[in-house]
Amino acid sequence: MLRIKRYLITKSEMVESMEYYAGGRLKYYIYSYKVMKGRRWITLVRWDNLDGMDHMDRYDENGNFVESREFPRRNFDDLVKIIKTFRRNIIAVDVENL
Amino acid sequence: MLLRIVRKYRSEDVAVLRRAIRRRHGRFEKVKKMMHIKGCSNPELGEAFLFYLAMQEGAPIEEEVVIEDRKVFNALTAKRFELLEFINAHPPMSIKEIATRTGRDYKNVYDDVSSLSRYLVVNTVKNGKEIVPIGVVEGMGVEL
Repeated sequence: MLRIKRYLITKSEMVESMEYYAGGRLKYYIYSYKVMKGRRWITLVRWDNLDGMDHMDRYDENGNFVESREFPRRNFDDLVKIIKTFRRNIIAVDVENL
Repeated sequence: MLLRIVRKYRSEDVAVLRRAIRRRHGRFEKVKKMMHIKGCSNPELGEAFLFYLAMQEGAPIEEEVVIEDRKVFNALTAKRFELLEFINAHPPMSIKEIATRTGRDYKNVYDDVSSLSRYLVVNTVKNGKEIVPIGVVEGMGVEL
């Protein structure tokens, strides 16, 4: 099952969760903070385990990849709270220490 | 105040979604290969990968949308609810087809779909040059 959850903070900001379950267990996840630029959603920060390791990726305001760091999996609802606090400044925040 | 929407994807919706992903990113094998090469530099690839995985397995795709922006209520008009009901009751079709079938002006239907999709009330995909609303809204509720 693919379970998608989109949390629209404002018309141009959302937090998106995509969780893929196999055999009833969570196999892959992607949690992203996206902003609308023009008519496209641009990812600014993303947490995922697609390569088998929990990590966080940061992108610049044009969606270009900046860096990748190890990051233990956090609950999606916790990430929504963190993002709602920092909003677009999240790209400059040291989220690991929160 | 929150507006919560639950949406499901029928097999016809999944077929349209698959075509849109294939047109944009190529086949499943190509997406897997590109993910290996590009890593996380293209976030859209990872999302396409998860959609493909679910579609390959025939796994259901469920979506929940939570809208915190109160301005969404300005976008919900009686005419747009009628449009939502039409989308729910019919297989996926382009805006042009919807306008023809409902006897409405193309521009009005386009504006309605655009407004609803800006708030994620409707999910759309590009099918060539056409925009196609997909998915069935199963429930919509306001939480105070």
